[in-house]
Amino acid sequence: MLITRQLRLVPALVRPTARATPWWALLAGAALSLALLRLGTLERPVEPGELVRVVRISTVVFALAAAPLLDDPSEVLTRAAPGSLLLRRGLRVALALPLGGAWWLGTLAVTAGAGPLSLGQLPPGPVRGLTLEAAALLAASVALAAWCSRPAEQPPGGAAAGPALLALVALASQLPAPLVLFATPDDQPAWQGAHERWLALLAAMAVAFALACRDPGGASAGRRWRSRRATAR
Amino acid sequence: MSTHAPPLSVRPVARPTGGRGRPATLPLALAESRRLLCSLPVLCGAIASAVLLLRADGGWLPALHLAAIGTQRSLLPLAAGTLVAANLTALRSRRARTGELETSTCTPAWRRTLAYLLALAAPALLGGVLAVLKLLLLVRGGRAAGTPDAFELLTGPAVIWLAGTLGVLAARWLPSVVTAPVLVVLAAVVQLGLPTKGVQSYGLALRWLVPAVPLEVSPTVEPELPAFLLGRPSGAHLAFLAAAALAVGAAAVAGAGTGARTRLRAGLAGAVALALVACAAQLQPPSRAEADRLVAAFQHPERFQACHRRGPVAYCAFPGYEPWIDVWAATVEGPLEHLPREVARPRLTVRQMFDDAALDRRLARSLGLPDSGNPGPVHLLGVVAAQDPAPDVVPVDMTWPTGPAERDARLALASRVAARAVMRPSPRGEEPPPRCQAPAVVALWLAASSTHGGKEALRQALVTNVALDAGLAPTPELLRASPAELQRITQHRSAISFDPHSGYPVLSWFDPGHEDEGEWGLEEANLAVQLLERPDAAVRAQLARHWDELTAPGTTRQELAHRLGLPPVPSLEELFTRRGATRAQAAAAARAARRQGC
Repeated sequence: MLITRQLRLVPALVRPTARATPWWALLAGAALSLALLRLGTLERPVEPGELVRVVRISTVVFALAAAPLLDDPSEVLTRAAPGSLLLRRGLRVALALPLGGAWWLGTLAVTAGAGPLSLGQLPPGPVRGLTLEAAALLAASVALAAWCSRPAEQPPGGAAAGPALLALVALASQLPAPLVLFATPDDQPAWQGAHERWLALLAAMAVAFALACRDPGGASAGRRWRSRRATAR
Repeated sequence: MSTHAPPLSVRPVARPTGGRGRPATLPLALAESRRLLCSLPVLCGAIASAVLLLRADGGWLPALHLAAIGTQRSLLPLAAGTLVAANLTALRSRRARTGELETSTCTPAWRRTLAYLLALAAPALLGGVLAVLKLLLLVRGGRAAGTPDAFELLTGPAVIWLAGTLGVLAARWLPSVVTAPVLVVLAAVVQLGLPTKGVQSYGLALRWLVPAVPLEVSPTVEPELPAFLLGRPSGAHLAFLAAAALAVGAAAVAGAGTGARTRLRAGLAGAVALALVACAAQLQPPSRAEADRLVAAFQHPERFQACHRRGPVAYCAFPGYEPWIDVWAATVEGPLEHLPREVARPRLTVRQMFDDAALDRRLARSLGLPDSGNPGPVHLLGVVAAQDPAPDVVPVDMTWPTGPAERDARLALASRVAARAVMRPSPRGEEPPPRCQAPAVVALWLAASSTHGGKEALRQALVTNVALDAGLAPTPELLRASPAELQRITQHRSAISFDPHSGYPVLSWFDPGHEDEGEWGLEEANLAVQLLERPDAAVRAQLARHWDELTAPGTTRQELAHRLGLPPVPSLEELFTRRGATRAQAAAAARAARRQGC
């Protein structure tokens, strides 16, 4: 009932949301990320470990560019609008997804012929793993932006999410062997284990995003249930 | 009722001022520096840098001239944090949408930008304090060699300042919250990529374009050298960084708009010119005289060393490394004191040496290396031949481990000393004959019994070799096994097929870097470990009784086992058969081993 009511608002929200989305940051990030990737794969063939490293660096650049995705100068006004915060932010993420997909296809195209990510061969292992990593990093960027936008007064938003993501990536690169996230494809057991953790990270970030997008002034589910029971009596 | 209010009195202000008629730049810079130091990116960066500084050089005796260079890389997280924090500071009015309000104050935008730039002194100072504290900790730990170069020590804070100015400039030219983190990633790619991959394609000089130039040049060459051979243009590099920071800062102030445009442009042009001159100076390869000195120190270290005699041993260290002599002496004296009383102590020279160095390709060409078209660095060893030291010279390295690894280093040095005290000098070279037979057993026993932790180190070296030969991983449980237990575990295993060209089995991975002196026989190590299980005094008495016979070059390990009452030693043929050889292979390998004197 509640969800249907929210979804009914979507057609009306699409255009204003698309207008307010900072596309320039995403586009500039995608261009810079692909340029870096091209630069890193100039000398071919690139060995698998090196190629994976370059793809990861370019993914981090694009994820950083996604940090201001949720920044909305008009949020002070739109808070009072009927659509929930989750709906408005979710819509932004959904609108940005095709661009993210295009960027990833661009990544695969740039690396075609450079090694194990070649579009012509498409061996499932590295491509699937790196796609998962890219999705988890983008989810982490957006979830961090959502959490950093929670303070009511002067939320830091994307300004804090970018550095926070950078710090998390730096920490993740230093993780000890049993918890390693940035595994090399040569070490298959470590690669498998790492991508199970990446999947868990992606799920955790999706949940964190949903939790961070609760309406600050809205009633919690528990309180709503209690009030409904009281009304029924 | 009249609605006209009386006009407000306006006091004319002659120029933008702070308190007491002074410009507000300095008070603003002070306030901003406090805010910068308390900002989360700077705090996190400082913590990460402090952790890296604490972890750096761990496990080795400190050399301050190298540690000062190491501080630059450890301070990079703080530089990254400063870049982000300075960018956020300069973007504050934009994020809070107070830009319009600020234009109404009497402090113009360029003064505020100048204040942001001056405030960067605080994190730079913090970086300097962290680096100095690290060196003080090393000095306090004792036995610190060398003297830190002030320019190298100042480079870390200069990198922090430069990073901060980049953050301020980015806020002026690309005012977005994305810019600073992306700049950090790009800077990290340049910082980590150029000194490793870039130098292979464009030459060694290229690495001086990165802010913190690492000591390591080639992954296969130990970078530790005495300070006078490092050949790092640290002064020019510091000038380059300072001039670059000035130029970037001037550009940021110019971007904020100022009335003094001509002066600022002149300053910007001057800073850019200074940066270019300093850059050109640092990109010059070391002079021919410096290259000659490096070659001379490689081939004839004695020309650069002062020796200190203690008893029969002279200790010769490169300038600055004198504090390490006590550490070497504590190990060297052991085997000599354990020699029987009636045996004359040999006069030895313990000499510090380096086994290789990385060299600029252009210099290598001037030293006679043919041009291969590859601009990457070359090994000094590939350009000039190492001179064999005199037989009485015991080489020691440019590094000395501390902690658990020190035990192995002590045993290795003691074995080099004992070999000179007990054995006849053998020819050195690419493939010297193994150290084997009875004198080798005596020397190994002498080294291990007289060194703190030597017994355990030799036993573990033997167990590791036997386990790896049998295709087993040297697990902690396996390392605790006695040689007899290990033999039982490994006797039916022949994981590695027998190589008829492998020669007499030797103790591998023991005393790395000194294999050209000859490796110790595995069976000899086995016998020495069996002797070490007996009381030292009893073995010493037995050795003293049969000293001349046991240390004579022709005495076999079988004779030693017989004399000292050890279990019978297998013949060479039996030894090779146990290692998976066929009868014919064992006979051929045994003949080859006998030719080697084993």
